[in-house]
Amino acid sequence: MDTFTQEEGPGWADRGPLSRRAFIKLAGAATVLGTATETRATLRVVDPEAMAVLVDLTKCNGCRRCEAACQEANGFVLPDEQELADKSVFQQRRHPQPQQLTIVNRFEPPGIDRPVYAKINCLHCVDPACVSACLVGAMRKDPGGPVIYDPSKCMGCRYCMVACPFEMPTYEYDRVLTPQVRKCTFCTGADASPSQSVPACVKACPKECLLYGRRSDLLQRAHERIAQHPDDYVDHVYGEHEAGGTSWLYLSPAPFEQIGFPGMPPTAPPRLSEAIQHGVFASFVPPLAWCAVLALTMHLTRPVSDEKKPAAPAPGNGRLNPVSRPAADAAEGRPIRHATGQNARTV
Amino acid sequence: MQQDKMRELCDGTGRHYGQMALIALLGIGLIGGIHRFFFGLEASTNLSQRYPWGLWIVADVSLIALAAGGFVTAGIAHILHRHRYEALVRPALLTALLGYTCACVLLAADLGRYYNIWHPLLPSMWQGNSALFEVGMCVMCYLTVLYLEFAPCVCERFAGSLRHPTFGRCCKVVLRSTRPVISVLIVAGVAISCLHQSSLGHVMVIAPSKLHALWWTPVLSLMFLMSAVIGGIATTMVVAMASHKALEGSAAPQALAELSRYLPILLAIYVAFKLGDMVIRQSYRTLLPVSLETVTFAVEIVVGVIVPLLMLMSARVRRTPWLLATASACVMAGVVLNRANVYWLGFRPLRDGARYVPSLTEWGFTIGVVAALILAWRLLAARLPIITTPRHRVSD
Repeated sequence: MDTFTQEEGPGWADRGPLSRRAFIKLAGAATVLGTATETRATLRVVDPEAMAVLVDLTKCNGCRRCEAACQEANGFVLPDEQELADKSVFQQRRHPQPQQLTIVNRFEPPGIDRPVYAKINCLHCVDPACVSACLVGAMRKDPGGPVIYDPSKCMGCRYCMVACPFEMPTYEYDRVLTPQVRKCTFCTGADASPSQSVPACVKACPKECLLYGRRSDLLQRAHERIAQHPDDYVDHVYGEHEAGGTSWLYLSPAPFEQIGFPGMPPTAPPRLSEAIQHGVFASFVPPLAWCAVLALTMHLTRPVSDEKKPAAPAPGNGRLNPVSRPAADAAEGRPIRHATGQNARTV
Repeated sequence: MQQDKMRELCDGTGRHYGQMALIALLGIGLIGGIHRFFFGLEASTNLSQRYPWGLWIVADVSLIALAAGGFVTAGIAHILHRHRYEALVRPALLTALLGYTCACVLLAADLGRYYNIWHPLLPSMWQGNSALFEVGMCVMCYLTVLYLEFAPCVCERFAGSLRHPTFGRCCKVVLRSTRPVISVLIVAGVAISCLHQSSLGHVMVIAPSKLHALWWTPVLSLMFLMSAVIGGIATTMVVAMASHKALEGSAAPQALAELSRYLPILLAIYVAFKLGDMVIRQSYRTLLPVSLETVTFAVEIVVGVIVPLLMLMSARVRRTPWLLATASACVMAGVVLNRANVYWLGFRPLRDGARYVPSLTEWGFTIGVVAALILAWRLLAARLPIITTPRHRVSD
């Protein structure tokens, strides 16, 4: 645990108030309290051993071997050499599809004499919105880095797709009975040990623009590269802070918004939504208190006898507090002409 | 007596054309259902990688919002003991029961793996960080509460039945055993409803970059709770006015008069929250330039809130049934449009591209489900003691 702070690359000092130890303590405390919801709180702090990929877009020449390798690793249709050489695919901007989990797009940002190729796929967020959103836990953040999908749990509600700020999960709408959410798996099966396997795309890259390693090391490496070649890179590691940080980190020769990377606030989306939800449900105290208020109101306003004399309503219920108004009915008109006056109950 | 009137009203010869039209729409819905379940989502819907949620989700959340009348009337009549509302409780309960049931049917059609719909029941799969988990659990609990609250309606009808003596005896047992817990059910129903009506809004809080600033707010859950209460009251009023001949002689008209006075107050509070939130978050800046979102937002606020608010402030409107019905229908439409805005029209995918427009099958199935809801309402209201006050038959 002592090495933790050392391994943190630059920029990680401000990664939030929770240290890993404090997080574990919190999780332990929550377990003792027995609140099932909080023990499963999303991983907020990156594991120092978590694996990541650094993508150096200055090196990519758009050969799309990573795409082919991904197809092969996932058992999809393989593009042949001719298809890979066909540069016309770059004429339109593509996006990952259920049978194509990673995509290389070409951009021509102003001020740079050559095109920039950008590989995109699931970024495997540090604090993923899809994991927070999935109501049955079919999306899971592995401490080793990957965000793993388990189709056997999935209901197919597609809330993960709504929640993902990068719009990366795709859905197999064409499968009638067993559609799955498809996204980059980081080359892990649902049960495989993730930290050992180098993703197929990383292995396949002939230009070595993909680098697989510990996230903290890669961040350090990325900042070193920027410092050594300040003219070649924009001073920004995309994924260091975006949406709370991602496992895929990018270096680019052009501003990221010009090469199709959305601007993102540094907080992960689940932080706000979970804070509100766990506030409303804090150990079930507020819902139970609300039940108690309702029950108390019910008790206090019960009729004294079986006559039509309801007692004055208690001030507990603010929303539909009926003004005490015995004569108001008579004063006001009635909406329906068939009204017949005071036989309020047909007991 | 009211029972007979209701039966006459629902089965009467004068309404046959309406009934036939509803059955035709139900048939269209069945075709849509076959299309979806046998050919898949790709063939039957226009959902895409950019728009994972569509019309069926909008219809789901709208039905649930309009079904809020069930818990609102139960709360007023039984928790605040306003007895004149009792005549409205059972019609609203039936509306809520059918609304939630139909929402479940629509949800099943929307889920890619609908056969896993029970998964949130398994503790091993609980994921308490998810807003949808809360929605799912609460909907299941509330549906159970609704059916339990509804059980007396069925049992009263058949208790002591000579034609089915065994069933009649069972009904008597159920009646006797539910009576002591009915208060618990009512409190639970109100509490659960408040929780999940609000969490339906909370669902979109996780996607601030995808929901238009006119609707996204951290307090979306509060907005949803308020609009559900308003929409539920409006629906209860419309349903009561549609069956007004059968409600004749009960206290329902008085309760309606009272509700029609509360509704503008609630609308004013709601619009104050909406506009206040807009000012605090400065989302009014996104009102210009004019786009589809700003137009639907304006329609939602003006037609759904401001117009009925102004209408209902006038005593003449509240006294005139057709004007009152129009104002209530405006409120209902406003709530539905709000749900459509949050889950569809105001949803902005990251990538550019064509807007999602529901397919014919999506429309057909939705319309079919709503037609089934209306048919089932009429069928049950004609045959069960819905339009009578609760203790009417028990005390006989």
